[in-house]
Amino acid sequence: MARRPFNAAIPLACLALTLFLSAGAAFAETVPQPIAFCHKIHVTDYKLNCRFCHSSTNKSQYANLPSVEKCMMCHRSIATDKPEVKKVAQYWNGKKPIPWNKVIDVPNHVYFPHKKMVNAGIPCLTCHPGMDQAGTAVQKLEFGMGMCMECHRKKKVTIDCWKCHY
Amino acid sequence: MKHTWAMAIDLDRCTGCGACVVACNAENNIPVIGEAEAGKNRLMHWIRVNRYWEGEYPEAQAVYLPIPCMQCERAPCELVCPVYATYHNEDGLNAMVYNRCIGTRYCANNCPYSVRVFNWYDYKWEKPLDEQLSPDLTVRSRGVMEKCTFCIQRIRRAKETAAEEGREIRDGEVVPACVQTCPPGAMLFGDLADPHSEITRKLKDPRRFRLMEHLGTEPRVVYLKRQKGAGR
Repeated sequence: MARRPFNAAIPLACLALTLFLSAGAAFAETVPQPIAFCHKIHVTDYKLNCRFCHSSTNKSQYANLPSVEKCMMCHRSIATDKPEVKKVAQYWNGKKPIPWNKVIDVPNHVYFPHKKMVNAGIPCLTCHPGMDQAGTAVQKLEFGMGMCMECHRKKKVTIDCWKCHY
Repeated sequence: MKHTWAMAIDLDRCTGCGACVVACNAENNIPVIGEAEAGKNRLMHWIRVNRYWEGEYPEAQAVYLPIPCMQCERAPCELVCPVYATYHNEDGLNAMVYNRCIGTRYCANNCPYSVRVFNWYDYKWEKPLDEQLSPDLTVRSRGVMEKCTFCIQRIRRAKETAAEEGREIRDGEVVPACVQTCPPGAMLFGDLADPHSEITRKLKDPRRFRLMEHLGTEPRVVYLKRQKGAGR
């Protein structure tokens, strides 16, 4: 039986797939943070609402990071002996904000009002899957216009370009 | 509710001070390009003030004509864009989508009012001037066409506030930067779809005219000027 001719497309496709997957993995990589904050403990174990800390998500264009003050509201008396919580106390005593590193960066040419999505009743985990199981913040879903459009079409919201790009 | 945004500019009031140009620059992240580039006719202003002389020397009088984007109802720029980066949006505004623009500059060539400007470079804001950049809109990069948007970010903000409060936008709630700053109050902005708005009333003024009306572009910017001479 004659051997089938070597098809270059298959290894190439494999290579492309590997590259694609590794790029995806690189995207989901954890960004180093000054404090090893654990989302899982706060959200899943202690059932805190996302908006308890990210309180302006339904009021502002921006989803805020909580202030040191907000952390200390609880951690003045809770788990004060944990090394990571001690770090928070250090910032608090030094009257310095915690220099968190940005994980999700919306490009400059996109106007993304967080409040619109939250007030429309979109659960946080739709766009930030796995955040409730994560340690420090990690974005597992890559944001692209296709993702926005899919949801906007489904919910019959405007898809006018100028709604988000100006 | 659909809106029909329009602007009225009273030339009898305009003193040609240029405050609108400055306000627009500050509001819309417009770069200052310097003398050399300006000499090549590459000014980035979204609104410019043209000066004309009326009459002969001792009775000569300066007439000023502020020209923003006319937001034409039948815009010549939209027809020639090969990538649909400029189009008519639901409010009848002439939209410009920067991230879609590929910089052919056909639209600027086809604009009879020459109000479209092009980013020839990536303009930088030296520290601490970058602090003044508005986060509400894009800082445009090289190779992108831009123009007056009627301060779409302010229209957007007003719409959001109105939606949150469960009401329609009030007359005078949306004020573009140029209109807000105009010291003699020569500019007016409003919604023509609202029959009781100030702009609807203002546009019944017999002094009204539109720029290069014979072209049939149907501009959304209407000028008011008292005409002199016989039969007026």
